[in-house]
Amino acid sequence: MQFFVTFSVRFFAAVLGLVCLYFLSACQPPKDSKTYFPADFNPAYSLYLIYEDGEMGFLVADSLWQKSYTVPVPYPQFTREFIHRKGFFYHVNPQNNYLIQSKLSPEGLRSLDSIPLVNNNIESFAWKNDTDTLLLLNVQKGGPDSCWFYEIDTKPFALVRKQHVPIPSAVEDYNLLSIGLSRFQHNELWIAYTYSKFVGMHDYTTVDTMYYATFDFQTLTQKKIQKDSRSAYPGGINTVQSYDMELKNGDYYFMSCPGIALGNAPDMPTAVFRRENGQDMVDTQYMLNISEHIGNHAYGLWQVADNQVVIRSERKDKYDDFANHHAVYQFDYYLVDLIKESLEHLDLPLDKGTRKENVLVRDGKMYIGIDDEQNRHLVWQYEISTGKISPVFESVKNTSYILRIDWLGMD
Amino acid sequence: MKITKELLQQYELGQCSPEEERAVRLWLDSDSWEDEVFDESLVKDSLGREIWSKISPPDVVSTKILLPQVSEGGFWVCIRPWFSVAALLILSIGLSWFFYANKQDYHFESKNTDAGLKWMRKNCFDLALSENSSANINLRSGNLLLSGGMILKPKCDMVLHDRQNNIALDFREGEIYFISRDPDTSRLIVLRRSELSFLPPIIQRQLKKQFHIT
Repeated sequence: MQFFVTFSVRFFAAVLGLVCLYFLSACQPPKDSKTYFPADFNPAYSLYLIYEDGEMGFLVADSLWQKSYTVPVPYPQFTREFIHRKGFFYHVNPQNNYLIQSKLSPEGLRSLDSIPLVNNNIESFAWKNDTDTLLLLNVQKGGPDSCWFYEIDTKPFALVRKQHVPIPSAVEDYNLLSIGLSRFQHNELWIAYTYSKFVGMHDYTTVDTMYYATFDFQTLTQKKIQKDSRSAYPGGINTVQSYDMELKNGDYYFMSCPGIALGNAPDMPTAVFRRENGQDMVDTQYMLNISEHIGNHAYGLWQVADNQVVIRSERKDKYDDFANHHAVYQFDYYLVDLIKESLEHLDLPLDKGTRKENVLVRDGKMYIGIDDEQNRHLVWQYEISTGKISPVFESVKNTSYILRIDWLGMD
Repeated sequence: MKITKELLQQYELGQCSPEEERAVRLWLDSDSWEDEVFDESLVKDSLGREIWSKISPPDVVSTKILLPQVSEGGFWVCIRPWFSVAALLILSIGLSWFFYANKQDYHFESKNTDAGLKWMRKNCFDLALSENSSANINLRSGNLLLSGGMILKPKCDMVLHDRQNNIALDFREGEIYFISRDPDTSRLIVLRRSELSFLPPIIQRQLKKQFHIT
């Protein structure tokens, strides 16, 4: 009898203990509520980094570049090929081809909504004027290459239209279609594209013609086609790097990229072209031949001031081929006056990393994230009015590449 | 009837008359036969041997030889040589396994003719061969021979030499490498996963297809 009483007491004590333990654990905050920066911290800039161990992530900083916090990627398949606007991020998860809308919060980048796309390679995006309507173009692979257009209202996040764009899948034996630029204007969709072909297992080349087509925005029927053989591969993938800009007067400028990092038709020159406001054709008289000026190819063009852009150019004496193109310190920055057609070399250390969106212009200052030979990963500040250059921020020690700089503000 | 040894012999040979047979049986069933017949003087040694040889099977003889040795504690003495043989056998199997396993560890050779990736897990690395590829890795000499492409996930830092191009390649533990031999130039393209995004988009797509990367 005594044994039974003792056993019962011990049994109930154990059960009580377990119940207490359950309640204690229930009171703990759930795992996903981990915060990466304090609630009173206002992230103004974000760097997108590749760390030394090959992992990627964000580093967010305040508007004075004084405090910074690392924020991990929202899912393992997240890449640098995201679109950011007014605090919202858009990225195609390559695992399921869903376009995911996310927002940054102290808990990290949180997914809000998603839309299925045909495939994961966004070739070009544009905003419909200054509205919340996102226009996407991608190339469906598998059969003959075909271009698809998506019109997405980001508020609410909904697919308005998905339509095939009547762009031929090939010209002659050049059967790889690349969309280089897209622009919405006057209820028209203007697309610059090109074709490439493989000439070896890991070797390809691009046709010596740039195609500019104008489509009616509603029907996507082709209204005009212009062929330009002054260079090859207009633009590039603009989720990775910028290649175009617009002056205050509405004139539109873009760069071609025939170098080995994009077109791989290196005998053609890297050049800036123009489509004047009100004209429906690219100006055949204007061509700013970058290769002629600097003896090298360039990739990436960002607006600095009204008539001024900065370009990021390679050094052909530094790299062997595309396999080590990203790893050698070779990238220079040039200020380009589009009207005077003059170039000025910026006094910055040589940068590494093929194709980066590491230039940001804001409030009279240009910020450039550079991974230099001394293994420093600095954000340099260029004061546009004075031309003064100085480092303003140093990334975390284990940085390998600063791939992007984004402004996280609402404007 | 007097039971004599001759009568018993006849009984045994089945040569007795029914009367003699009954008498011998009666005698055998009685309790008095010991005194009468098994008098030492009446039974010759030869007869004893003869009877014994009839009733003793040969295996009993061998048991008789062994049993005394067991009882004397000689069992261990007997199996000691077997112990030595077994030990030698275990040692030689162990050594050959050790050297074989060691060889397997530092030398790797495989081929993939199927569609899709062929994954292999080794002590020093995990490796996936893409289709129509073959790889030969010798960690002792540091030689790497590759045709086609492979994904390499080293489990320790290692340096491999591409003799074809006379290049030493550093591989770090925990990284994922995409390695591809260009059949046109025989150049070896080695890229970490994070570096794939630096490639021209057209090459990127081709490598993603080759290595089945989403």
